[in-house]
Amino acid sequence: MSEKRKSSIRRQVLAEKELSDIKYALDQSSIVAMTDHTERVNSMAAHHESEERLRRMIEHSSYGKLLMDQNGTIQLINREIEKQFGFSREEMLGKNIELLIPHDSRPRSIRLLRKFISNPSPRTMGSGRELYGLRSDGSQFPVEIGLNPLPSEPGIMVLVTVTDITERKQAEIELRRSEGRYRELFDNNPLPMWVYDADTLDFLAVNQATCRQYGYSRDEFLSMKLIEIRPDADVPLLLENVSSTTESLQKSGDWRHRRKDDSILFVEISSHELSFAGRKSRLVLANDVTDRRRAEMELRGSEERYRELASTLERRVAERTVELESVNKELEAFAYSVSHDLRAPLRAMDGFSLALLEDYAERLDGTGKNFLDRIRNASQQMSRLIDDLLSLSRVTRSDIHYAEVNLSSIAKEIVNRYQELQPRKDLVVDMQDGVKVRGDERLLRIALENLLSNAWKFTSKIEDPLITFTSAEHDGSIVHCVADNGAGFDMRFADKLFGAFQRLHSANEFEGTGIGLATVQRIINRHGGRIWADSGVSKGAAFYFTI
Amino acid sequence: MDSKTILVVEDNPDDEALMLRALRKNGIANEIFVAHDGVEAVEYLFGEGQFSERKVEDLPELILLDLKLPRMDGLDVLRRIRADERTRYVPVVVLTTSSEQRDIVESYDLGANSYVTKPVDFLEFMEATRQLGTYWLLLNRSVPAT
Repeated sequence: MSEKRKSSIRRQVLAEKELSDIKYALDQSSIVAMTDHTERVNSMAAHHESEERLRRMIEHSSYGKLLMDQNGTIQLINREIEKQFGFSREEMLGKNIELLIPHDSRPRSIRLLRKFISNPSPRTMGSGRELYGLRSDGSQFPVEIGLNPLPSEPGIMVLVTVTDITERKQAEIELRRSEGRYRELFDNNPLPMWVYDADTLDFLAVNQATCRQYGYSRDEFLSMKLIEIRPDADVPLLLENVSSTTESLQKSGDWRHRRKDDSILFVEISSHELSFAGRKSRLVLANDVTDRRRAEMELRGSEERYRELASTLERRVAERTVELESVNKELEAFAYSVSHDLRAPLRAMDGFSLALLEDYAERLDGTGKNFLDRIRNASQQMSRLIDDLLSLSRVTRSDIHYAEVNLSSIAKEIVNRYQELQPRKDLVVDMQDGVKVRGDERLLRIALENLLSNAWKFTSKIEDPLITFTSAEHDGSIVHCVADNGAGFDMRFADKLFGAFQRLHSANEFEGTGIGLATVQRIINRHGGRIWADSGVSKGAAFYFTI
Repeated sequence: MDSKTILVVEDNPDDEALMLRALRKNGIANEIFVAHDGVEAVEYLFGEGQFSERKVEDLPELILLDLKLPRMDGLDVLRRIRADERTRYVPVVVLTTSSEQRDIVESYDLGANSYVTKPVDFLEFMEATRQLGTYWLLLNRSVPAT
């Protein structure tokens, strides 16, 4: 409540007290007594005295007061009236009260006055209606008029109290304006809000957002109770919560609410105790968090699925690892056994064939010696096969130890060694310097060894042989290349190139086991790289790989 | 040239025959004793069992040791040899078919003096034997027997 309004009410209260004083004074006076014929004799003096007292009281009142007779003729005024209306005492005394009433409301005012005269009792004039006073300069000001009948001779006199309520009106307008603003704030707030009676749970006020959200009209809401927007299952919990809510604004947590069409929404509720139209009530703010809840639930669901998947995957990986380990162990045992046992018979075949050739040469003819040579060749070829197979299996089994590996220097070392064992003066070797990668040196050495020994082998029957090792960036990755200008191969069979035991050349043309490139591919793959080839018959071959 | 023994530990009769042939063909004239499994090799070296008559101080000049052997394998034999004061300095050359990394590493760990893979090609085998004989029997000086 504004200060202005408070003070204006206080003033009114004072005015009433003052009036009762006046009445008390009159009770003691002859104005009342004059109606009593038994005491009429002494009346004149008393009358004079009481009139004087009345005049003083009116004169000294800080409120605008005037006395008029039942015809509306102004009999007495005080200074405050002069100030309020801007007329001088002389201009008002003896004039009809109409002087002080705006023209358009004069007939009504006169009517009201007559009504009052016919049924005189203290009242506020035209209560509930706006009354205005007319100043001498023609301007108007809002007034509140108190009418008090004073029995007199003849008829009655009327004591009129005039209160200038310009300030109060202003305050009311201000208040209404600010109330309007708050109502607007409430009504047009995008957040659904309502007020409910804390005892009956009746809705007392709802804003538009609430109506939109829940599908009920404002009128429907105002005849509903709070529990009607809850799923039945949640009602007991609601009742418990409502009874425990304390006074301060508080988060009451997430609730499920039910719309008019029975659809469910999730809301985050804040509630605040307040007095609304004199009833103990609560203001509720209901933030729709349905989307958030759905997203959360979906997230939780997908997390669960993911976790399930992950654990299944982990279990499978563990199972596979165990399987793989046992397979690896078997493979290792197999390799070990191959390494030891399979070669011994070959050694015997070779060794005894040679012993025959040496010790019994005079008893063997050319064909016989040729047969023994074939036995020796076959056993040696099988020995090489076993070596290569073991190498392939070792490549698969061994752990990778990452370090910086200088491919250039390894490639040079390998070719230099070949040159020492079996010099080829016509061979041109072109190696790019300083090609370094991160990888397992031992495995990469095996890979280069295989690629370069192929290049060496397939350039052995041509003129101007050339072997190169280069490295270049291509499409964002470094591609290494071992190339030669030798026999090459038919690209139609390129898909067989990296399969174990696959050979694209006959043993008569070039010796080999068909395991070398399978080994190379496995090494490159174990490094997460890729290998491919480009070639043509008699056009040389290029092997590209990434690490 | 004294004629100290060469102990060959070899279970495969073919390999044994070829080994002997290679040694002889390379003119190595030392007495050669062939133990056919690990147990026999240990009993021979330490004068146990059927070799209780043998003097342990008569150490072989060189031991050519296969790894994969019946009853007791070559690595266990090597362990026994190196664990015993009397035999710990005898040169042991592991001569085997295996080229497995772990065999090589373990052999050296246990104190093998050398590790040679038997080639399938007998000519290469001959060459290997020749070089072994030259090195271990002629060039190399072992700790003298006390």
